Amino acid sequence: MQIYLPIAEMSANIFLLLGMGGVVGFLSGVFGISGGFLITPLLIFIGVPPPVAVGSVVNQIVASSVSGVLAHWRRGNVDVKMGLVLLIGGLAGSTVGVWLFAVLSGLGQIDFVISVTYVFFLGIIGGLMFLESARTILRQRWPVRGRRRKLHQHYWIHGLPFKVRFRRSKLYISALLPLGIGLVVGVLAALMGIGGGFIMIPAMIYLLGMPTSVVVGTSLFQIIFVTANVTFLQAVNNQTVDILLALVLLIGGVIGAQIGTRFGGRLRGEHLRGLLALIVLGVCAKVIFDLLGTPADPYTLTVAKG
Amino acid sequence: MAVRVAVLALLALLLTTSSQGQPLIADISDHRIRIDSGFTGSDVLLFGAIEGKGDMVVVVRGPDQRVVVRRKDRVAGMWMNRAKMTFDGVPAYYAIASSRALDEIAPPEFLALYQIGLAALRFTPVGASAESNMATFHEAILRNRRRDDLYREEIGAVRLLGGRLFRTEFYFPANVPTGSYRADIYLIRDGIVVSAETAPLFVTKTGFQAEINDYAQNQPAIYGVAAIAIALFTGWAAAAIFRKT
Repeated sequence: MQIYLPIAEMSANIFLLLGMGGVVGFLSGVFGISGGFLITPLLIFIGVPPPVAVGSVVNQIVASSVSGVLAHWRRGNVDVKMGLVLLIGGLAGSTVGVWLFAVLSGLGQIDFVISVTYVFFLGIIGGLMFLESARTILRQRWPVRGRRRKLHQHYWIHGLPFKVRFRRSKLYISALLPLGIGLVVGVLAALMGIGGGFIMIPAMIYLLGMPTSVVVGTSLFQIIFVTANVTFLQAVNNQTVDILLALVLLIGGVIGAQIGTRFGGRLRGEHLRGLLALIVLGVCAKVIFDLLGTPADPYTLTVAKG
Repeated sequence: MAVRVAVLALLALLLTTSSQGQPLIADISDHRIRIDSGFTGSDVLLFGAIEGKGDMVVVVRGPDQRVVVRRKDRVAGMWMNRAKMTFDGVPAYYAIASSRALDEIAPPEFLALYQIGLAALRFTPVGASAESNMATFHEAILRNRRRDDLYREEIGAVRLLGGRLFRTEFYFPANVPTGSYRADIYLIRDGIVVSAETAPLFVTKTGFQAEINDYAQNQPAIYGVAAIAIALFTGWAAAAIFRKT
């Protein structure tokens, strides 16, 4: 059954869209990510114009994040104070990101910039995650006695001013740090059409040193507002939010996520991270391949507005 | 030469319209193509009758657009957009059907004058572009639009029945842009237009599709807030439903 998407101005198979939403939802349930980095390239692949893909996926992530954050909220796994500081940065960053998106679209370089940022961040994060999980798995098979890690390590970061106590995260750090991280991830979220969880979560663990128990909930909490901001700005500035597309993806995504959550509970953490790393690296390889391979037609058309 | 052909064509038109019997009558099965939620493209039938011998050419042309053509080049191994050219007067849709090969029907000057046939399409370059290979950019527009099924050339697609009636079908793909279109129907004899007719055609979004599009374009702030509200509600509802089960 075909469905006509009013903003993307194309007809697509509704079961294909539901299936894509379902698969990505499943993965997001298993791994606790919003999956924007998977679904945005998939939509572009089936012919959705990149700006519409980015605008609509971000709208869908608002919903999947709300649905995901509620469970964490009930268990008290959301550091609201940390979330709000990240959010201030995130709102500023995503506003800049939407503006940057429009400027790059005008220059005809948005596809290139999206591809390069995908390769960069997917490559780094996928690679690090893969090494880390592989090391953990190997350690369990052949344990080595190493130096015990210190409880807290001190870097130059801890010398920054405006120190704030984040009780739930058991941290006493400069507010500038989460503010900066929120800002950077906000720009990327708007540019890449993602929630930013897969960049935010490692940053929270490795840069901020937050306990893993509150990381996912807090990340989802701030993603709701950042993606809502991007949705609004994309709708107002570029008219690239397709409600119907977002809704169809969402229905598939919600069902997939529920199945995924149950499935994910049976896997071990390091195996989960290893698998996710492979998926991330797979997407990265595909983008590299497209960037380097000779295009079927080097010429592309864009209809100018007005 | 082109001017002479034009004058001849005009004369032919005047002569035929003043005579009593109409040499060409044509109509379209549907003047309005409605894009609804199940739209996957649409066929439109164009039919009519002619008086006497002649060849038929039917051109359906969509609204003119400004189109930016970009060319990717290799930069440090990666493909990125480098050169670009902008053209005005690029039809969003252009389909032509004829009863015979175009060059057998009329001289090239005539085809060029009325922009009949993809080879005769003219686009106006915008700005003082220094791009010397304009022709390759022009070609790129034709190639891209043909690939998207928006430009079509169908020789022999106009069928004459008993030398009197004719019919042809035009296909509008799912990605057809909205706007006002026109169908020009020519009856050509010995390289001159004996008679011509024009019929309007509209491509519009209807129902739910039209409403969504209308809000997105005209009330973008309300649309944006609505999109967020829908997402917040469905996200919450989904969590509530699955929590119970």
